[in-house]
Amino acid sequence: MVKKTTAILTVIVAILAVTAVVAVAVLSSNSNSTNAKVIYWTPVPPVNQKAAIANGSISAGVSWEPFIDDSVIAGTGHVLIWSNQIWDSHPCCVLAVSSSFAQNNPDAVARVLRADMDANAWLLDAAAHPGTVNYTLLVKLGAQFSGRSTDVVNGSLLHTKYDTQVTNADMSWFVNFTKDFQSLNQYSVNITSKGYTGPADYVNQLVDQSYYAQALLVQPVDHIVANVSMGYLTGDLHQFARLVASNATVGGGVSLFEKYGVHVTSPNLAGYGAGPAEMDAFAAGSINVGYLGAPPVLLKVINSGVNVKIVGLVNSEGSAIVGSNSITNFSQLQGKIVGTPGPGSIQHLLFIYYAQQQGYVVKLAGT
Amino acid sequence: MPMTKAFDKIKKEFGKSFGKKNLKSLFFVTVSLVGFVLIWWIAASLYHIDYFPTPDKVYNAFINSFTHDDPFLGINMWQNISASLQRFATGFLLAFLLAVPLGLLMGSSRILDSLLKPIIELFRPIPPIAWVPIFLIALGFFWGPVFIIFIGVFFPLTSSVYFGVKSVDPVLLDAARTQGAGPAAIFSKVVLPSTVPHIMTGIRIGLGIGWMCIVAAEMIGAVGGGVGYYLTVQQLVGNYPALYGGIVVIALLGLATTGLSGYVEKRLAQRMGTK
Repeated sequence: MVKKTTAILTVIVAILAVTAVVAVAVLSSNSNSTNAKVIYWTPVPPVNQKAAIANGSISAGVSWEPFIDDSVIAGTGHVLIWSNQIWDSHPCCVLAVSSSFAQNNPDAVARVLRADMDANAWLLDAAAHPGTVNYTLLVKLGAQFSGRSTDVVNGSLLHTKYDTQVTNADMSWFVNFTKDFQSLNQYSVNITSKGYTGPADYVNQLVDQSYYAQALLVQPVDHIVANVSMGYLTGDLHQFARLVASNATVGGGVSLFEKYGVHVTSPNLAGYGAGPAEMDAFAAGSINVGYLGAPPVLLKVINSGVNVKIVGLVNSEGSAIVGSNSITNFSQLQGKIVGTPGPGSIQHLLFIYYAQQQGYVVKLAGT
Repeated sequence: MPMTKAFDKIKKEFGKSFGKKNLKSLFFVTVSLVGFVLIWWIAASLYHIDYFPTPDKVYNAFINSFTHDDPFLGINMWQNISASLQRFATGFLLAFLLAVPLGLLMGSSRILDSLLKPIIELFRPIPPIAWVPIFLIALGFFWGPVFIIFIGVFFPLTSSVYFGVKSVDPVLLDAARTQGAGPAAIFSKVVLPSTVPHIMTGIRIGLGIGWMCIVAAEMIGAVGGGVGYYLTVQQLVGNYPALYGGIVVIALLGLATTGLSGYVEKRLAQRMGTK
């Protein structure tokens, strides 16, 4: 019995020893070398970036509003570089609709766009007049939706441009994003295999500006003429127009969506965590209209065959690389870890683009 | 232990049939798997939707993930597997080092048992995955996922060791005492040997649960990649064949882990003469 026990214990000790060796190997391999021009990235949802920068898990984070000002106002981080300093006037979020829904309900799409347009006009006017009743309401809406302080909402309003119309300049940006994805080898199939002659042709077929022209002609109605299932991102203040268009006080008793005869429901009231999840909701048929970043649309229409059209813009700019207090400029991020929302997001693309432009190699942290 | 007995019996029967009617078994396994792939292929061809790719696409993506670096992660599947296994090993080791002594102590000491049990029973029902959002912020991107594994392995292992100590044959204990053995001798010569098979059972259960946890933990984020994170990235960018390929990798790793621990457990039980 004793002999057997010794044998067994030896086996267990051996197993443990092997495991220990592996574990030590892990812990020692976690030191990143800083001799090469390398910056590391690791996935961190923007909502967690403030905490991750504060506790030292990451040296910087790439995020959108309100999460940028979240760190800045708290004093745990500061903006190293705004997205418009890298890509001047770049488009960010867009209004996408399911292709089949748009074909069958062109009027409903025009009405959604019209409500969004009016909401943006109201928003810009309110933001330009601090101290007014409308301004107070605007900031309150933003604070409630994002769960952030009114100071953070103020900051978000200053750093984001809001507009509904997709311009030709925006189209050129979409073409550039498509080319970036191609050069980074991030399309799982060639876009020509999907029947497009190239990036410009792809973007031309993906974006439909005709609904915007129709929206200008839409008149208010006193009853609901369309039901729309809508997706949006959790606590995202780029998508402020949707908040404004959903609010009854702004519309004078009924929301702007309802003013134009649209009844809006949402399968996911808390919103989606990221654009790719919203593209999946389009694919599953649970939403017909979505507010989301342009890059997830540009990627997943090709990679996953999700049938959507971009019919409007939501915002431009309003993203940034936020560094911890010990990082004063981008070059100090050499060998350090930067949090991004992950592949497929505009922030990830922005970070890779800028780092490569500055002569850095971007690698996944821990590799 | 009637369940285990029944299970062993089935295993024995299955083993026998595999020995004698090896070809027949092989034939059925082949027919079953080939049939499955055929049905999948036909269905996928009929429906023709992107998120339901045909087996050849999945096979290509699976092979490709090993031979080429992923464009998003910059590493290949071997490196992802290695990252996951390292994380897994670290969490498992920590759990083992804590759970075995704790189980032995709780089983042997009434006072410790009464003191620790409420705490353990309070935390045990919480699914390890529930801790993911908190751990990844509170413990950082390396220790966060590791502690998810730790929790997954810790509780089944502690319980198994504890029950192992509790189920020591009282006749053996009496015999040892009659022979004049002190507490130390009783512990090392009677309690510990009787507990070893239970430790092995705990390890086997812990491995299965730990493996489920690693995928969930990595889906939130992990330093150095990992098989779970590979799945997340393929979902983000919509590369569905690669997503299925990743699921195949996880299935194979899960089979390997539980198969190996099951085998070790069986051999140990034979050596110990507890079967």
